[in-house]
Amino acid sequence: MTLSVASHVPIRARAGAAVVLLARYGIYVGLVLLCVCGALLSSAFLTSTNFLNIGLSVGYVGFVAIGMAFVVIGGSLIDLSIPGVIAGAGIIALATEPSIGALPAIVLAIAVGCFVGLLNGAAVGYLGANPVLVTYSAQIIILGIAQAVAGAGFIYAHGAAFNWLGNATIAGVPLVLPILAACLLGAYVALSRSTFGRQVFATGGGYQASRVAGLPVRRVVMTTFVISGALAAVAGVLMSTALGSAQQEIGIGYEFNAITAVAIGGTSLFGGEGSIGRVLAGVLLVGVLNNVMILAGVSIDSQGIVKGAIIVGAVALDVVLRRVRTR
Amino acid sequence: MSEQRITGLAARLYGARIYGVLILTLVVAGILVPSFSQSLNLENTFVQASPNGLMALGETLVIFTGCIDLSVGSTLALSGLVAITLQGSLGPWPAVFVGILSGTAVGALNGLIVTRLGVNAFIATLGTMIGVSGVAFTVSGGQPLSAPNIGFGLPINNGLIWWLTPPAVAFVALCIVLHVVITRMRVGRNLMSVGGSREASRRAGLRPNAYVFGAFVASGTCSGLAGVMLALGLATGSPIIGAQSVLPVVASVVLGGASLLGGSGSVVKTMAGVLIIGSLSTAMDIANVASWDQDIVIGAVLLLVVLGGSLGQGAKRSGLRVPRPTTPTSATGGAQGTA
Repeated sequence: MTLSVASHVPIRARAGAAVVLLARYGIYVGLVLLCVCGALLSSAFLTSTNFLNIGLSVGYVGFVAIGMAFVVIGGSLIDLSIPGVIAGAGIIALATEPSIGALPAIVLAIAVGCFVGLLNGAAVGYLGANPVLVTYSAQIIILGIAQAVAGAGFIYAHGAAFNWLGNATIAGVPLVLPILAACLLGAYVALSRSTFGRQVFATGGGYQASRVAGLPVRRVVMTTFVISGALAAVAGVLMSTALGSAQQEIGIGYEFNAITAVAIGGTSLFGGEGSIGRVLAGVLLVGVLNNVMILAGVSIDSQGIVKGAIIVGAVALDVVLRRVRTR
Repeated sequence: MSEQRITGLAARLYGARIYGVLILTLVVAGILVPSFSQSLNLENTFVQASPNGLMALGETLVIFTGCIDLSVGSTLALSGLVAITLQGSLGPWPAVFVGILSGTAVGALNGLIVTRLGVNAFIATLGTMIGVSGVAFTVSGGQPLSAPNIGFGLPINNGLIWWLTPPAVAFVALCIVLHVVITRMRVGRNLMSVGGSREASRRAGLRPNAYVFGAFVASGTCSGLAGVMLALGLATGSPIIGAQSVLPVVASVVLGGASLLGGSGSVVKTMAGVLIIGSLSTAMDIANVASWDQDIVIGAVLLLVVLGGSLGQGAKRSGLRVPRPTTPTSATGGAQGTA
């Protein structure tokens, strides 16, 4: 989109440097401004406990958002199978751990997540099926299987290993955050510093052109879904060990929360643009926003109004800034 | 010559395959669940599918323009709550009117955000989905509200014409009207051409934004109508009633063959898509199939139809991978072009 506007209207030198910077780094400026608001509204905001709270509240969605970013940048719009994968991975890990041990159970759960991603990716990449419908079907089928297997009740964690994993901290920081940081770093390298990453951008930016140029576009699309499935499974395992239990509904809503974070961060939903830094900024923005609203005493019923307005406002501001920049 | 005619026939049959799927669904359901084929249950299927059907018709118009409306479920909840809340102070009929108008207002808001601010429809309506739901929760205090005048709304559960309840009549009538508008009238053809190529339709002298705005207003109004009717029939307004509706609604539209890219599809086929999902769940309800097994079956049918459709096109790239839209209207959220 930007590209086509830019190609019609040459960027003039008089487009102020401030506007250019704001357009490029607006999401980060927004994040800082929100933190300033939070600090002014409540003395509890600028405390390490509160930052840990924010980190924990967005930790799981962070994994999902990274995977979603690969799918979106690769041009496949959305992976709706995530609630199914999160619940499925959690249930598999907890249910198989007593018989096969903790590490094999985790590996099995993540492998199942990869397998679901592989099926989604094969249907979208190789058969050309619509990603929204394929992944939505996958979601309801997996949730159905999960509930048929686990029933309406909870599967509880038994082993000492999962108990440790769920409560482990490193220097007071829950283990989930260092793992997320490692995944972010890995995703950054894969997306911005590797051949595969360039292929993802190329495929999402121009599918036909990339295909003609000889890129393995089908495999690239499939791989983005495998990454998304694997990371959703990681989130499911960590979530259910932290909770000490798993059930069918633990992942509900995560698909929309993740796509919200990806979009607020400024990743184009048409594919071909975006970065892991922006995804992280989007995830943090939503987390800080929720936190500031709670600290400011916004009623839980009305928080949705503010959140909806911020989503639309942030993206609208970004569109306007880009227009100014290219005028 | 005759070969051409056969290919043409095959193409037409292939295009009408959704009706085959619907008939197959009804026949299989009738065989597996003998009591399903009793006329009363077919009627129930239709009546129960009507609110989703109304939302799906509005959603179809939005999808024809190449946009998407994720706010239909929240709008359904809000309009029902408005109609119930205002019943005491305004009187029942004005409350109904204001309730439907609240849906129209959400549609207009969506249309303005998409056409004036240039926000991608997916993000715009994701924002209004969350925001409108927040308004519904604020209006109701998070609780379901009972109608002050319970007797007013209940007749909506009875047949108006034969066994067709008012929502079912609205569903059928709206489907017929929209089918005529889309296939026979200029405004309908223009709507489709805007969805097909916004740039081309602009060069042909159309104002694409006007059609996009109109489609969103129509979608909001349809959801408003469905929400008010549903709330009256239950004599209750609930802030969570539409929370899980958006994906089934979009699924039935796309099941009916409309492309999420816009420019192709049919409202009658959307109706077939709605009825396929509706008859599957009614038949399984009668057979006492557990809800999670129902999910598996509906997901599998959806997957089969989608994969069948893409295999039928010779595994050609369909779906979302196309030339990018070239107007500020469809500008997506926050892309920087820095890549």
